[in-house]
Amino acid sequence: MTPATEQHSRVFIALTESCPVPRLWQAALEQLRESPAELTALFVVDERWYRAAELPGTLEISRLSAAPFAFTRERAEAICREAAARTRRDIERMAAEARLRLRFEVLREATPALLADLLAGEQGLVIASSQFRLQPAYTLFEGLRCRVLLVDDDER
Amino acid sequence: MVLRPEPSAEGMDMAQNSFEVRVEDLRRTCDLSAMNFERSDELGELRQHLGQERAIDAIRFGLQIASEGYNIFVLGPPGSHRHGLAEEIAAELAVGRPADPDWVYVNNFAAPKEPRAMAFPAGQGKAFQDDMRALIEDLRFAIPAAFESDDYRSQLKAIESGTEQAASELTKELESEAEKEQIGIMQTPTGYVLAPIKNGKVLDEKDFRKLPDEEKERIQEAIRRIGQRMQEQFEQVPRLHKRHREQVRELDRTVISHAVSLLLADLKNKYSALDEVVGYLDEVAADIIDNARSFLQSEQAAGPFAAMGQARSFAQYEVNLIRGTAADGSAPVVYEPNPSYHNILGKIEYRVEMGALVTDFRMLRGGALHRANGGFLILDVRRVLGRPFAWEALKQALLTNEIRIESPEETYGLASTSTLQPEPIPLNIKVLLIGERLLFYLLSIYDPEFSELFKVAADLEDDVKRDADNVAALALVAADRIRQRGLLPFARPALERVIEEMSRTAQDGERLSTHMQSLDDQLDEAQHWARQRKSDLVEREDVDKAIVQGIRRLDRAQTRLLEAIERDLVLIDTEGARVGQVNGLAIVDFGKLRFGHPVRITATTRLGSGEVVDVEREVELGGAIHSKGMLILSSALSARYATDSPLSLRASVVFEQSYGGVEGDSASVAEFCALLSSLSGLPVRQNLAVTGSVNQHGRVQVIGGVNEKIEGYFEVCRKRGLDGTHGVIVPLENVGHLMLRQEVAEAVARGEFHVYGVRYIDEAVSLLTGVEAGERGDDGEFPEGSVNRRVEEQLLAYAEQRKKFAKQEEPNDAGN
Repeated sequence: MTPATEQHSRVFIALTESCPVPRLWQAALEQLRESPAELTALFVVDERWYRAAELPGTLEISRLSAAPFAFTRERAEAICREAAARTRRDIERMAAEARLRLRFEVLREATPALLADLLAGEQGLVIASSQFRLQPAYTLFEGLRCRVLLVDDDER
Repeated sequence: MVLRPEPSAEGMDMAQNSFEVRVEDLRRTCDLSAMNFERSDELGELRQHLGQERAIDAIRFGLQIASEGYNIFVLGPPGSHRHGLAEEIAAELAVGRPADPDWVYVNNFAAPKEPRAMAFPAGQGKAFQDDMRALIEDLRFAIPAAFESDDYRSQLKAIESGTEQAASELTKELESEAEKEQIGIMQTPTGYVLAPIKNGKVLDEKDFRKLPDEEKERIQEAIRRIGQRMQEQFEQVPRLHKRHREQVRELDRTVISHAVSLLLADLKNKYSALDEVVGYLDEVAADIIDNARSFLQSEQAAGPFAAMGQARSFAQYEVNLIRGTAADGSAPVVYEPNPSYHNILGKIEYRVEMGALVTDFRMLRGGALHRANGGFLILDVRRVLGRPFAWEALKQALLTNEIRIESPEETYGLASTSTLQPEPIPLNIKVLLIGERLLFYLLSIYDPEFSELFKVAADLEDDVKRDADNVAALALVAADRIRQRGLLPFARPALERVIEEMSRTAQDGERLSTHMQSLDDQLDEAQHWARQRKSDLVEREDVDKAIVQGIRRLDRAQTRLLEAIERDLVLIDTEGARVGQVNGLAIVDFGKLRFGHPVRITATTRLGSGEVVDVEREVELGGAIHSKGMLILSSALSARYATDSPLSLRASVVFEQSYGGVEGDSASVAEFCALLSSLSGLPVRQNLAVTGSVNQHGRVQVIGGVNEKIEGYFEVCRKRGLDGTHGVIVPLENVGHLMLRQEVAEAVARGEFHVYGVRYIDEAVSLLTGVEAGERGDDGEFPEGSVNRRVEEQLLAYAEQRKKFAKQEEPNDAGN
């Protein structure tokens, strides 16, 4: 884990479909213990689903029936929505247990301005899985006034 | 009412003397001096049922006869020691009777809704229950241990590895092919998405559009082909899983069957003589082996939903001992004090799980029939009849010779919910019903199955002859009960007094009551008064006090009535003489409250057409027997007097100041005498009261409650002052029943009161009028001046008058 050296007024937890939510939450708690800040959970949508849905001939094979279906934008949206909802349930439950206030936002590559709005010109800290660095969405954080704290997820 | 001069004292004396009952016959005293004891604890032990030989023989016969339907009905009033008698004989005959088997209910693995009944030799049912309980405890450890063994784990790992490897090979092959074709496989929550990739990333639409058409077609063709391969693989996965489950199940069976065989081997050996049990143990083994893994789940399951799942429980191998016996060589004797349907037949209990009622073979409960199977069951018939469905259920069990536990709602088709249908258990039992005679006769008449099922009637005697043997026997019985009940010893005079009172209880000076409750009550109460005076011996005075206090506790109504007579609110004359007015005697009988009292009976006569009007009957206050007595009286009147002429009177007989019902014919002598007095014009002595019934020939007949009736009149006279003229006329046949209170007998001995026994109405009327009744002479006439002569003359006069009236009316009739 990359140690945090500065105090931040805003802390973001970058969440994906497959990130280790409890570990990221623990990292956020540690950070907040040192320095209280406004906490926001950012669910970063996996854009692969949308890209795949835009392409002609893309198929989804059902595990249950083994039947093939055309993979549509609606289906991609449904997958992302379900993933975001599931992740939101998890993190909100943790926040409730810790009695912390939490804001939840969904971030897409198509909405980069959202992150700048959330930072509101202040120095922010983004807590993310180390795998997150390999995702295209990581570039959204580059060039902004925020520091990224990567949490090892090799125990997943 | 015409007052006439009183009859001559001389004539009266002669008549009275010949009918007066001897003092010694009024109250038969008891003398136990021949038994040579001073205190009851000196008497030896004699446990016998006084006078019940016939009932005892009947019970023995019923219990010993092997044929069907020979159940027993013990007839007798409450307190007659009917339970003790039945239980004593049953217990005696139960010894040495071959013990019936124990019965258990176990799970029926093929049909769990139909629990299976299994028989065991006496005493072994409990042992089997314990053995199965121990087996379950062993299984609770053995099954998890088997699954946790290194051997099992390594074999299971090998199966899992094999399955994983097979699945992995399928996936790897596909992934390799997809990678070659630059197709990415992405997992969604419900399946897999196939999309073109470049450098590990899904192509975006712009890049895809830039591709040559051949390349686009190749990609789409590759996606279709790989998708098809994936479909084929998905179809293989369930087969892989199925094969995996089969392999695991087979492994489980192998491991568990070994463990179970070891555990069951001893049990099968122990019960090898019982084929059914061995077969059941094999079924248990098969069930455990088939479902071993599910026991792990059930043992881990907890919370309210655990019971709702499909997990199996070791509880299904438990044994429900529905009837167990000690192998002591005697058959059971069971008394069920609350013979409800369930308490007789057993029941199916339920427990609530998640709002639903559930049950299984473990919740079957045995009833009295199960406990008494192979022996004797004692029931109170009144209680059986009073509990809903119990009587029909008992009969059904006896008719079919089997005990079928089912809910009454199901038996009568009132419930549609699914419940258990346990296998019926063979019934081998003798039932002793205990109840009053009335119930026996009602059941005999109205229930056609009753006589088929209860062929033996054991009719208890209410009383026995008061001879020297029975008196001695009763003394021994009393002494025995004093000992058994831990009472203070009774002095001989006290015991004599107790026995005298047992005659009084029997309502007969020549008999002794066998009502043991009355005896016990006397003994208890006498002891109480002895203790009150700090004595360690019960004396005669204590028994006297017990009797007096017993009467006092209940004599409120009698006292009020006596007061009413004393204040002339109820008109009763006890002196002088009146025409057409007789003191009759009535009895109030409400069980323990029983007393006699005088009642004024009056008669009026006039010319009429031969009617004797019973006012009580006319206003429907007279019962059937009373009406019958009046009709007999009417018939006797017409048969005795002026038989050649039409009976030409109208007579009316009334119980004065009687506002309740009148029943019985014991006042018919008094009514007859009142009529004769009215017809003859002879006044009736009011210092005498009379009781007795009369037949058509003027014969006075026996009546009930003679002692209370005499005592009732005695009380009234005593209040007003006994002057030596007071007395009561009773039927001569009732003299044997006399067992009057001591004070009455003493008053008679002093000449202050008299009791007369008469056989004929003429004797009664002579005593009452002081005038000879008179017998018809050879000339067919009654003696001049006799009562009967006067009556006949009056009747003939009425007939003559009637004839005159008839002649006067004839011309008018002809004119019409």
